[in-house]
Amino acid sequence: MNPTDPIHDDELTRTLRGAFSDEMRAAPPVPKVLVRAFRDETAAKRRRLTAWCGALAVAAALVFMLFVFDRKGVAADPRLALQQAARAYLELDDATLRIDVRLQAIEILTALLSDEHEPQETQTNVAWVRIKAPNQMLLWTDVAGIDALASTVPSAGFDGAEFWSYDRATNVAERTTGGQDGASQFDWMHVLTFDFVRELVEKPGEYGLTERTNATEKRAGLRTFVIDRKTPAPEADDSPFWTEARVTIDAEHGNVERIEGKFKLGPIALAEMTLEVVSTNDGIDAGAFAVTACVPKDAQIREAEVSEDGMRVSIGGVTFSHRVVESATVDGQGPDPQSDPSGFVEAITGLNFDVAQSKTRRGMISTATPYGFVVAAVRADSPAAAAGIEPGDIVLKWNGEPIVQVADLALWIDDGEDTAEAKVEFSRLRKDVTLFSRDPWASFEATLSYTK
Amino acid sequence: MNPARRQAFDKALDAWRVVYGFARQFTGDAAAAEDLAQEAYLKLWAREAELDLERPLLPLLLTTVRNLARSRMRTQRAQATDELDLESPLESTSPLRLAGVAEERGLVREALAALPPHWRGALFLVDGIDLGYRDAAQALGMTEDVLRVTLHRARQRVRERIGRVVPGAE
Repeated sequence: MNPTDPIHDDELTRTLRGAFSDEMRAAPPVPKVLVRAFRDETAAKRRRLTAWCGALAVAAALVFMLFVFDRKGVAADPRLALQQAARAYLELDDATLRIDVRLQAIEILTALLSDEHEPQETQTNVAWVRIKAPNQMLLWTDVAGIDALASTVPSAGFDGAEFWSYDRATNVAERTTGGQDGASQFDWMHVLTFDFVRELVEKPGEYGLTERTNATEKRAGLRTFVIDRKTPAPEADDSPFWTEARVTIDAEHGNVERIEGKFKLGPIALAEMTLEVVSTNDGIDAGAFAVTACVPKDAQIREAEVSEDGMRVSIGGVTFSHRVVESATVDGQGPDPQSDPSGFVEAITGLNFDVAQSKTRRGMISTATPYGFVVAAVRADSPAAAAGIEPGDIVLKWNGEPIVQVADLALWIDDGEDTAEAKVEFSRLRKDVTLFSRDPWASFEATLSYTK
Repeated sequence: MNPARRQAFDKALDAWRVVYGFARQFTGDAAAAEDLAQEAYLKLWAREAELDLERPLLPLLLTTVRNLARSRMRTQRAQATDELDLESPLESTSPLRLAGVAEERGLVREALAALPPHWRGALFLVDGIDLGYRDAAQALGMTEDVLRVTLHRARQRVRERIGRVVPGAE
């Protein structure tokens, strides 16, 4: 160490320290601004408040991000994605199929997957299909635990739903319990296999559907499909469209594959699935008849016209009609004149005879009651209608020959030309008939032109 | 208030005179020194979140003062040493009442005024407030070796100026 280092010079150090001490003693008081800054609680509180606000903002951002990522996580998780996809509903509103996502479906699936119902793979293969069309469609499920499903649904607000289970192994469909009749806001509630719904969504074109989902629906998780109106209208005779429809209608309803086929068939197939076939002739169990009356494979269909306004099918002189959305005309064999003479006659002429009341005495008090066949109905736009024959008339003679039995009339028509004219004599009750009228029946003659 | 923060800030405020005195070595003006010291404190307060309150704040304050002073001197270099106010602060407040002492310290102030600011700062920190070499060197922005040399030269210069009144000095 340098011996001259003044650090050892205590005297000099003392002198310097004294001088510096003087300077420090001359220091002004601590500025108030510093005292306030360093000792004021308010500033600290403000800083703490700012910190808390920042923390809250960060927390809110985290929550929001968690929410967003959670939604992404749902899509990323195969199990959750399955549930989410299985929430698809299928709605048929006229010609519109809407596959959407509803909260109830989540609840149902959640219940199914909860502890109460042991999760099963088959139960996850469920998609709910809501059909809200005027003409309802039968769809089926391959859900194994249908009872559990049915017991869950009422709690989700689907009282009145009707359930059917389909066992793919045995190919048997059975109606199951669930819901109360008449209490549902839906006419039908069906369960469709999840795989099928997914296939519908992924390949709508193969089922005659065109997606019409708008941006709003997409944000809401809705998928809307419409039946492709560009589906080729069935042609007469060899229309594959129509032929395929026959196969479908012949099939058992409990066959899921057939249902898929119906989708492929488009509107006409949908029409065939309805139970709202309306008979224009009394005495026919339309509901029971409808399934096979529309397009049975070997039915003797004389005429089937399907248009935007509806479908009219004439079989054996009976006309059925119901709503459909496409048009088709199918020719087929008419009723046999020997096995179904009344149907044959009706198909050709439009005359529907009330066989049960034929050959009965008619009139008020008159004894001069003619014999013949009472016309129960006359098909609109038929030759009989054109000839002026009305329901209630009594057809007496055909080309001058008394009609003893309808089978004779059928044979005369069958043996005649394909296009012919017949002179028809018939009686009609007078409008001014009284108790004392001698002859209440008026005789008429008309020409009836028909084509076989 | 956080107790640690309160304690650290109390100590910092207690060191006000030291900080002011250190600033005084660089400014040569009482009002400028006060402004300088105050500004150093406010800068420290503004950086509260970054502070390690477990460690003394004085070295940081001194470093801040030195940096601020250097910044100011760059803009007022011409006045850095020549316009030292040697009279008013000490005359107005100095407790020097003894004539001998007053004469001696007057010589010392004169000698100090002739030194470069950072020489005065080194003397202030080491001899004036008895700060350790390491902290003093850090506050002055120099190494300890440079500080020792600086102190040696500063003391030598002061000794030369006041040699006749400081016993033992050359």
